[in-house]
Amino acid sequence: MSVSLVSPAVPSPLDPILARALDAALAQVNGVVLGKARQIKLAFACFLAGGHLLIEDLPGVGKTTLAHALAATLNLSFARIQFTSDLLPSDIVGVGIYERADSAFKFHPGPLFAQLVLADEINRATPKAQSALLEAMAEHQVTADGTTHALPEPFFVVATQNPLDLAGTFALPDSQLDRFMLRIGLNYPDRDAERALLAASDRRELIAQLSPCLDANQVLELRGAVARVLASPALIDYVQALLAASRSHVELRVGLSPRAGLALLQAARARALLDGRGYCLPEDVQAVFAAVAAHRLIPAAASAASRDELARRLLDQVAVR
Amino acid sequence: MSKTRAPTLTIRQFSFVGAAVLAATLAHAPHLPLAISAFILAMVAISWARYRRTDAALPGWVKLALIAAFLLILTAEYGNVIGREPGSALACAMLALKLLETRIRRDAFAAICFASFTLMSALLFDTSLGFALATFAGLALLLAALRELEPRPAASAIVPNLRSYWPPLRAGFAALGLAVPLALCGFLFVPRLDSPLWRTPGDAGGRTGISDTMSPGSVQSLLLDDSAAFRVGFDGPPPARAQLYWRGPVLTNYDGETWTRRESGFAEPDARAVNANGPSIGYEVTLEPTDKTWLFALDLPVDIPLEMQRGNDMSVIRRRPVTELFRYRVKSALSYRFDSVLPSDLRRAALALPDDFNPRSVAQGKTWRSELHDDQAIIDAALALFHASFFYTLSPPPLGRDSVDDFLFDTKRGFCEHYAGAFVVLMRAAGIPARVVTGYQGGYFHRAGNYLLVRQSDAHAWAEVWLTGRGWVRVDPTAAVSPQRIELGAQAVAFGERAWYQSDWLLTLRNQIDLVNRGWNNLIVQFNGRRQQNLLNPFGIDRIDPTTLVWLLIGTSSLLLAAATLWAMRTTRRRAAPLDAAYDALCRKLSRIVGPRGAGEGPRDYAARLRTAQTLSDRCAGEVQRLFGDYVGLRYARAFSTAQDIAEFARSVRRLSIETRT
Repeated sequence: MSVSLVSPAVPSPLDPILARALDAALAQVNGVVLGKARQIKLAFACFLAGGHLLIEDLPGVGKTTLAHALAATLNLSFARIQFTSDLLPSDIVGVGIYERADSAFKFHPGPLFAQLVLADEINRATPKAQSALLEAMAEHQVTADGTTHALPEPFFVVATQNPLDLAGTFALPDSQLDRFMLRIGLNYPDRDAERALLAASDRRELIAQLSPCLDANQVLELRGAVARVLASPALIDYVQALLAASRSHVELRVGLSPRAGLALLQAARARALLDGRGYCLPEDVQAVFAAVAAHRLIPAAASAASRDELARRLLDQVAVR
Repeated sequence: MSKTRAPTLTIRQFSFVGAAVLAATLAHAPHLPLAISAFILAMVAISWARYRRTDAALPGWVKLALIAAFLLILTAEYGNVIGREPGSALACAMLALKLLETRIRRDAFAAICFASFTLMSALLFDTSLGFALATFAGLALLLAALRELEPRPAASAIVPNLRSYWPPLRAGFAALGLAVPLALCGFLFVPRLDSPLWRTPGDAGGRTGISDTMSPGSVQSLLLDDSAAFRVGFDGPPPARAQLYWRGPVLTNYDGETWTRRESGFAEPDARAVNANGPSIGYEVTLEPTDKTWLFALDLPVDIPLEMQRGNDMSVIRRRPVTELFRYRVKSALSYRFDSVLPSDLRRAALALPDDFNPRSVAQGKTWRSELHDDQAIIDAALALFHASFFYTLSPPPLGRDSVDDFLFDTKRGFCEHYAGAFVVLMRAAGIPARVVTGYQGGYFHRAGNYLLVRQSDAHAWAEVWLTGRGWVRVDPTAAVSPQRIELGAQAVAFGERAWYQSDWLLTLRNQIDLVNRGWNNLIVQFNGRRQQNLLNPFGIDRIDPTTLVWLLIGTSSLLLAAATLWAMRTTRRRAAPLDAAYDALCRKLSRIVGPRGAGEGPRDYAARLRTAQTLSDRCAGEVQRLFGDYVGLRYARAFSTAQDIAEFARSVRRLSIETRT
């Protein structure tokens, strides 16, 4: 005796072939980076929502492997920039070189001109080099020698940051962390995953064998589908309640900005799409909330809680229906 | 039931509970011995310091050892554990020990409940307005601690600065304020017993006040004590200040150092031959608790209530000690004669002097007897001696073994007890029966309140001599030395020796403020069953028998409570929108199965929790999952939902009957 509903429900936004391809892509990355299903889903959501990803964790937990696997699976051109303290903006963006043949300067694009850019240890570079990257992330274009060069689409930056070993680093200021849609940590794998990792063959070989699961058109279609995922009024109420709570919370000096709210909604939509749903649930918002909000929250001076802890508390405290 | 460990208190919550415990025990501090106070304070401090480091449970043997240690201290201090003081000391210590094992919310609730009992029991010792207000503040702190224990949205999100402690306190005060009307109703209408249940016999108090012995220095501390001894409302205009001799214990026996009362005074027949010349004056005395049996009345009481007893020395006593504010009506004759015949045993006692004490004084008395023939002349001589070369002071030099000799011939400085004692010794040496009368002299007449306030500092001692044909006659040797003592009061005379807090304007201020204290005593503390009945008689309450009254009370309060509950429930239900209401109803039905839905727990998560719990029967579980699916569909999978759909969903929720797996 189920309810026969009169009002129309949102249909699934993906055709079966695309849905299967997306599942295969997720499964393939999960097969390379073991035991990190949640983070991989977040990384996919970030990519589909058109954001950039910041991975903050210790060396050797699989940050680079994840970026490689994503690039190979999504069929994206890949470039890696190792950030060092002597890195110059032109090392990233590219440089105009005088070509004798043409008697003119010709722009030689830097590693930034790739679809998936892995910015490794972003906090090792000087603020000047960092801002070159961050500007490109925001604008999807770079300007060199007065000429504007569009970056390839889709353009997806995965930056990594090592939270320890801070000597001689330039931690990204809070305002620039905002450029990253999601920030995730990878943590150590659990026992079983680590055992499987140790027993199996080298990850690099594995990545070399990966075949693309999605083509460029499918990626663009998926990104379009994200925008069509329904966020019902009740869900927008919930997102607003979260934003409001973050702004009035005593333990927070600065709450979430409207941009953070947009990112939250967009990431939640992408997360819903990954589950094959055409509508967003509060659980989708909750699943991405810590990754979206934690690096944007600025705790009050007297608060001893970590940012992740504060994000979790906000979720616990804001009523959901 | 969940098998997970209950979460332990945060250090902030623990601090609140600790403060509540401290407040409750602090209320008992005035009567607790130092060792016990130290024990309690140590327990609270140790608990707090320990909880800062660890929330691990304390081993049982440590608790047992601490309890045993405390019982040792208790028996060492009081000798037993029965009675008001040891009982409340025990309660305080147990409360402090409870704090030591407080780790989770349940412990904290228990501690706070017990703390409120302990706090309230402090009112057995002191019912003054100031103390009641302090108790009120303590209660607010308890409520603040309770509130702090509540898992509410912002509970864990408090910046630990000093200002953050104010909101819970303010809420505690607000809750108490809201409770005041209810408390007032209870105060006025709940039937009360005329004798409280908790009165325990044989409470020997450590209260200040006139005692029934007098030795050098015993009154001295009283003269510096500004607290009220009693208040008097006169039926007519108050008598002149010089006539305000408030008769207390009469001291006849003297052992060379200490004056004591005659034990047989009340076994003997009542005083004889009181001739009250002129009108008698009626008044009502409201006596602060003294823990003693004797009462105070103007010289001389002629008409006392039945429950009181008058000795043949005209002092008035009561069978039970005055452990709480006590009000009584007396009539006194200001001009009087009594005891025209002195029984031989009383004469012997009133002439007895210890051997080998005060030889010079005795010699002086004998000299007067041989030189002067008239008793009155001897009295005048003694008063003249005091008047000529003595000096009134509240800080006299110390006296030796022959204290009267030292005082009369060497130091020549002292206050009422020295003069009264020395005078009686002189009289007895001269063969005139004499005795010391203690009590209070004077008082502050409060014009606005039309009552007389007598303070401990008005304590006084004077003498009575027995003159043939006239009976006992009051002689106040202090008046001979310092007439101002009688006219202005002890402190006014000894102004050079007053501390800053005894300065004139402060004293005036405190006299004025006493009006508030008196109002408190009259309206609140003295509100007993009789006055309650008087208040309610116009409403016909005297025509209802007590059993009916009790049932009526229970019935009315139950009805009111039920009505209030219904109203509260209705208002919360009405506010919710239809879909919200239906969803809330669904969650309410299921909360018995897997516990309530958390504030931040979404529908899919809750449904998943239900699925994994596997407590529902298969059919019911399927229906529940379908309902959650419908709900999610209605709320989140549509841009809008029609009222028809929502009503249908609500009907399905109502039809749902919970079946558990058998």
